[in-house]
Amino acid sequence: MWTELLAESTRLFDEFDWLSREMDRLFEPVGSPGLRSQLGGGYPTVNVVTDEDAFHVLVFAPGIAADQLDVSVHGRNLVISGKREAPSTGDDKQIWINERFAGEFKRALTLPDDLDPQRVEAQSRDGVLWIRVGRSEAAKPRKIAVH
Amino acid sequence: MAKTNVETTVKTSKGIVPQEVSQLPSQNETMREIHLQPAVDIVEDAKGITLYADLPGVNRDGLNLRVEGESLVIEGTSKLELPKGAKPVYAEQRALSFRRRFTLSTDLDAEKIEAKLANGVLMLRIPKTQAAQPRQIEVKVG
Repeated sequence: MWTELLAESTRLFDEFDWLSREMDRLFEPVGSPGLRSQLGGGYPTVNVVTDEDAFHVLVFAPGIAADQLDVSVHGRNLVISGKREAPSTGDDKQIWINERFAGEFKRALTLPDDLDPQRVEAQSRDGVLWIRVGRSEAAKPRKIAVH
Repeated sequence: MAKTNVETTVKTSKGIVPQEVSQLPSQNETMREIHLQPAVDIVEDAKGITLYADLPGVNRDGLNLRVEGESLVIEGTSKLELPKGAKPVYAEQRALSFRRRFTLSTDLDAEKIEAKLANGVLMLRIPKTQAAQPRQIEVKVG
């Protein structure tokens, strides 16, 4: 599924270059990224796939249970927020490696115009939140009968 | 930003040291073969070391945890299934397989490692051997 994306990405030495290219590619059909679309890595990471019926946003948020995540739609913006706790520490504890993100996070994505913000479903499993936004009926391909 | 495949060789602890990955993935490798290095937290207390690793999408079946000689190997593959015919348009999470290897020092008891996996986070508790645990020495006032 991600093979083509990966094949391209591993060829590029500059990761930021890769990301900006990917962003351009994502938003090309619907204009530039919105001011609220905070894309570009961090925690949680986000992947987007599309099919005929829907726009799927996969949010990789390990350590977050379903009830700790807040998913909302403001106009055309899909906003995902939550908080991840840091491991407990104390005077008797020594932290050797601290790579995992801790604290509050918020990610936003501007949805393409052909989606119906009323038709959003989300489910969470094993630290991956799957948000499915249905395409609006009007935007679906339609066969026109020729008389 | 997802962790890159190249492990750092900075020695961060005497107890648990990240090892270098032997080779970089070649361009021909497919998605399934590319392993990301999961982000970890490592915290030590008097009785042992606790390791937390981010393995999003990995459940019990997809987790492979083993001790090879002096190495602790964490491997996990996400079972995420995408809808048929779906087209990827944007990816920050560039692989769904994870691998990371650490060297266990001799003061740790590899036999007694406990593992817990919840919401895509692996928690490992690696106790120190009895001999390595701090002992309080009583001082008698004469």
